[in-house]
Amino acid sequence: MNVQFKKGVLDLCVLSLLSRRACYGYEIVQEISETVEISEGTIYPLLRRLKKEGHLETYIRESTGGPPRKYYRLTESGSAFEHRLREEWFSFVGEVNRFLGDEDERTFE
Amino acid sequence: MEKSEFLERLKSRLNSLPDDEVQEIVADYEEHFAAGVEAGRTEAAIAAALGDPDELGKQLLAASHIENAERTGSFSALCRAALATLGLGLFNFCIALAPIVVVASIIFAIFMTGVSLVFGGIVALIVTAVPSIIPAGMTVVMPFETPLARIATAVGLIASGLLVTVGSVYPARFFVRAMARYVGMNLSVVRRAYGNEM
Repeated sequence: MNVQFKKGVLDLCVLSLLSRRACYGYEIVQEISETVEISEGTIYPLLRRLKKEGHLETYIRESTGGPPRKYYRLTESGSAFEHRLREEWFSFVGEVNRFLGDEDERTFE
Repeated sequence: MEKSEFLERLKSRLNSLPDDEVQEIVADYEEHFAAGVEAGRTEAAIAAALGDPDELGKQLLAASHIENAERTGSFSALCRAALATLGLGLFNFCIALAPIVVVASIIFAIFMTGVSLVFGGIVALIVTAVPSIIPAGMTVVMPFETPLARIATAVGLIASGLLVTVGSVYPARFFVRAMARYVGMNLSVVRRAYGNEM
């Protein structure tokens, strides 16, 4: 997938995942890297930024048989941000699809 | 690359950050390695998937300095942010250097004008109060004959100087924040240029 596409949607993917359930870092990285091909290390700077911007908060929870883990969840502002990005994404994709549709008709006339 | 080498290389890139922030960052990656090993992957495989620790460190460093400059509006924080971003190989910043220097100079000039007014006012006040302080052979030219008018002038100078000095702080803060945002924008351009390294 085109690199510029990936960057734009990474925030949205992480926020959307966390809007469904709280996750720990490794989980987030695995879920995201299944969909978007990225260097896994880059998820952590993104999580730090979203946390500093107040969209995420973290808490520590014991894991079964392992060390305690840091979980991430959405704040109220994060939830609003996720909704806004989601709407922007769908309206953007819709517009591009319409445009590409027009292009296709022109090409195949 | 094993976990220890990955973390060491990452840490060595972050040495200009506060200790607690470095520990937080390192702890995140340590937890990642632990969870990966638990899931049955080797340290080498986990490190490879994480990407180049040097690139990662540079990105984290620049992002942290930019965030700091934006939050505090401090000029030294802005310089550190600019330097950290330059470490990523930026040209945009150099092109923008001329206007940045001009605006910074204007703000600095306004600030110095205020300081000079205050200084002049203080000197005028002292000279009026203690005329004997003037060294022999030196002439001090002051408008107005009466001491009262001179003191009023001096106080006026100090007051307007303070006003100008304090007033220059606001555009300076605004300027630093705007610059921090600009540097941050460049950083996102670099992220794209770096492709997978974000």
